Amino acid sequence: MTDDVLSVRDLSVTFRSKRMLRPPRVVKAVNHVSFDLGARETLAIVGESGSGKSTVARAIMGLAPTESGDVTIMGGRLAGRRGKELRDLRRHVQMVFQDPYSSLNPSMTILESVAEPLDAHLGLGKRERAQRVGDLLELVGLSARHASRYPHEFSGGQRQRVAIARAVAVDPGIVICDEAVSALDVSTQNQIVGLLRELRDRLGTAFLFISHDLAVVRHLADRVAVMYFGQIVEAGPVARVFENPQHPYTQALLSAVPIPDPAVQRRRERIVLSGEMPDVSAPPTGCAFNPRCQHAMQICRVEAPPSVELSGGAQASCHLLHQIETTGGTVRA
Amino acid sequence: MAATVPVQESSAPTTAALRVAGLGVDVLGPHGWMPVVENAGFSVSRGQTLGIVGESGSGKTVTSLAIMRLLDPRTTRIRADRLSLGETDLTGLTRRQLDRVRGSRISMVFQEPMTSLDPSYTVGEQVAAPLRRHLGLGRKEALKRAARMLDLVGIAKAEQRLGAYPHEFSGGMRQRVMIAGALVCEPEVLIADEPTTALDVTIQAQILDLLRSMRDEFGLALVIITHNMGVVADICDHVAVMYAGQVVERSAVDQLFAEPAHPYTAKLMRSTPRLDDATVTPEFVPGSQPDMAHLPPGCRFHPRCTHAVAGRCDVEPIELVTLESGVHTPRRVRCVRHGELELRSNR
Repeated sequence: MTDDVLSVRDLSVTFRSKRMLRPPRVVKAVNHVSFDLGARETLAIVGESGSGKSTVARAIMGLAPTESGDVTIMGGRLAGRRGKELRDLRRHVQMVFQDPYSSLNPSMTILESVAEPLDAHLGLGKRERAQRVGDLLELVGLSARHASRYPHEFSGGQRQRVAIARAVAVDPGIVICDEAVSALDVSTQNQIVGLLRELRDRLGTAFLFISHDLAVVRHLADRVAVMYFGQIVEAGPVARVFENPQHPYTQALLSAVPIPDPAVQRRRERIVLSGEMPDVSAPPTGCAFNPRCQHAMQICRVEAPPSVELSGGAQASCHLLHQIETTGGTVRA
Repeated sequence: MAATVPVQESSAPTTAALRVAGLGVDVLGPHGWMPVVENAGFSVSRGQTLGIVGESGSGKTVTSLAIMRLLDPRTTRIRADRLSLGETDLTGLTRRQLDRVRGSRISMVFQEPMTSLDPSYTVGEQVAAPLRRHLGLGRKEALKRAARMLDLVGIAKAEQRLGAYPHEFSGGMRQRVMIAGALVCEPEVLIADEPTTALDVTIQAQILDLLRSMRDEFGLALVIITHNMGVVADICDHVAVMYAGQVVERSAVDQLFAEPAHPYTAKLMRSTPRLDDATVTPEFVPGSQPDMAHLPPGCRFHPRCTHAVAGRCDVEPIELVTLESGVHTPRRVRCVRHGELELRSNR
């Protein structure tokens, strides 16, 4: 697929922490994850804490120890590149973090913060540089006059705008937002979501939107991948997955989100999951979700489920779906 | 999920477990005393849930801390026309008398279950502490009762886990421990300040279910402070919406969502994204909540309100007025244009 600006194949990330006497502690945070991100597309990765969604982002940025797998950015493979080659490829992927209070250096002016990536990648002259920063600030809904100010003079929402200006400064094809709106009040959140949409339309940026907020994802993303315990359990177009979830975890996750409408919420059928995500140092055998799954069968405790293609361009990894599929069930209808 | 039994309205006002009227809080700032909560009032009966809703800076947390009298008297001042727990007037209590009430008749749980448990005491000791303090139980008896309480809030093998430390529990389990400690003396009122905000949604659903069952089974009066409209819809019977230190609307939950009476409430609803409907784009309110030191004249929301009328909304402070509306407990709204506006919510 040549259209894809980002392609991740079979990505696994394992953290090893050395211990003095005992063998290293090994934590498999991401387990054979694959997905593609098309130009101008917004792909959301959702999941609960510990699902590995942020680690995926970090691995793409080269900030987590990739054990295996391939990351391709704008058609160029990340593996094996070093020095300038690697830097040039990296320019295409920029990141916006959750906390705008800690992601901007408090002792740098907004101009310096936003110009940093420009200096690293483009090396503009002084006037051109100031001009570009001014343009970027206007682009994100701030004013060029703000350039000489410091982060503490801005609200949380404004800081996040600065962080976004900084991320799009070198015209990347891809921006990864890691919980970029989670710390903001709902009104500010909507403004930032609106800004991301606008940037997608004006600059053609593709977004990898990592979030635990499913309602926001519903309104922003084109496609969604649901992660549980380091794996993608279900993925597809956002309307398809949210309106007709097939994996038992996706079903439970969605049913746990309260609908802000008491009449609807009261009538809803909810699946309340018992327990919590398993301990990473003692992963369950078979399907990682089986200890909490109300449909778990014998095979689920033994064998990892295969990925099943579903109608509407979705896929899910579940023995139940696999069985229905192979026995000619109705899930695909 | 609880059955759709019609909400029992508090027909007899004397049944209120917690009643607050004319509550004001001032905070000592660089330029002297500054009001951060003004004339707040609400009540909640046993077996019911009151939601106090607002964005950050609205004064919702300060309100709950003021009820618990947990604010530092050196930097805050509280006044209230009424602050009563059942028949007890909390305003007149001395510190010692207050200590006897807090944790036994009225309790509180906070957002951060990690920081509100002491890492160096076992879970059993912490849940048992209020029993020893308030009921004078011995260590053994208190621990025994703590184990029963932990079991009740869904900690498996509770008796064996009494000796565990908070770090051995996950976030959701810690919140259960907090709730156990808050309920162990069987209080009439539990105030929960953003009890699920730090938790994942599947764990949030578990905790809301737990609070709901405690409320229904034991007739607990529950006050939930939250910014999450989904949580409000899920568990609240009545709602007080706060903006810039004032209650701007008080309604039964169904009315609030079906026909919000205050423009701010309506805007808040319309800015909340719905998981079940992507056809309507969530709106936003331009600008931000006013700085409490520089409040606008008149209605505090008027600079951001699309319905504001010059000469009416920006002159005199707006009173909270009672609306006539049939079967429900009286609705109250702080808007001069109430009745003139047709406000849309999020559906």
